[in-house]
Amino acid sequence: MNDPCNTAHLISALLDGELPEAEANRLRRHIRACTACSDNLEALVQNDALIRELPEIEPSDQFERTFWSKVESIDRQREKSAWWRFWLSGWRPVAAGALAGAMAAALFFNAGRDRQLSPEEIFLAENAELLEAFELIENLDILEHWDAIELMEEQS
Amino acid sequence: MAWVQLFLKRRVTSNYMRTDPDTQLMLDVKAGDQAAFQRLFDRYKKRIINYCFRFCGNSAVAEELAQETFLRVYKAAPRYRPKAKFQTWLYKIATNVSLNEMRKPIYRARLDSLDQAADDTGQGSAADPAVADERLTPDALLAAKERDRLMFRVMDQLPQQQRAALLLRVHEAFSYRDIGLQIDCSENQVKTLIHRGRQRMKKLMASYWGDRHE
Repeated sequence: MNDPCNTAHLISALLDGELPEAEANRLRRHIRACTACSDNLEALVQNDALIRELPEIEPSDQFERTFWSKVESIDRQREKSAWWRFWLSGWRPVAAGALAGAMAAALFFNAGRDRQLSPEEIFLAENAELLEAFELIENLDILEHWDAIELMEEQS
Repeated sequence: MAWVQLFLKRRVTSNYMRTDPDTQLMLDVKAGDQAAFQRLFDRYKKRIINYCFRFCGNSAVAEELAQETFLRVYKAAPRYRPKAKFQTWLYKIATNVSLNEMRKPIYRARLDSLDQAADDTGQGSAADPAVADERLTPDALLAAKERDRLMFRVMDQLPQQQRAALLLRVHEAFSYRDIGLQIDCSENQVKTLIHRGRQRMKKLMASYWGDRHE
């Protein structure tokens, strides 16, 4: 690289107007007196001009159409997730959790309590002693420990 | 002291809001104003497409990159907080989108296939007649096409950060400070990137022109 005065980085900053005024003036004076730096500046100016002169393009016909359809699809997704965001914001998750916990506890503690008896079971209960007398059922006294038997059945 | 920093930060933010109308528009978008987004889109679409076009040299890819840039702006709107001018922020996104695309392994193959298709159909690449100046004579048009093709080839050979810094400075006329914000570098690093980019470009141009004249 032809930079005998080691000023290439300063010339680049000068070109961009990013050099302090005093330093810029000093460099301009040097460039006027130095052929190598003057050539360097000229080459950089030309290359910058080539970058600026690169062709401009116009947006195609479908550019906007495609873009706005993508925006619509984002809006639709946002609307869908808005329902969840509503329920997951503020105090609502806590309230929903508490409600779900209460329902689960109620189900757990009341499971089987309100079970309807079948007609056969009602008949057996009403006529238990008679049926024992006819020796159709035995060990009726065990029914006194019905809760313990029910628990054993559940565990088995 | 954290509260002093917070105070200064808020002051800077409110200054941006006062002086930059686009930042105010973006705050309107944040508040749900779709028309404000449309205005920003209309104001910047052509500039962003052309910025992306200078990165990749292909109009179809440039449009995709520009769309992705504006979609990111739209998605980010609900949590937007002005920390710089809107334009600086927008170009930072466009630069990230373009650089990310170029880092994808499939990018090069895709660009080559699109360029091939453009060559076959005469549309879509840097040499597209639609993008050339119609007032030029056929010879001048051919020379201009050749020059543009060469420039895109040279730009393509610059390291990505150098290319971004050079384009942001020379084509978009951002200050070193703004470029630093856009590519996450200090002003001194930006200065070095631009200087090295220019030197490398000069060298590449010299070697290409030398090859052609031999």
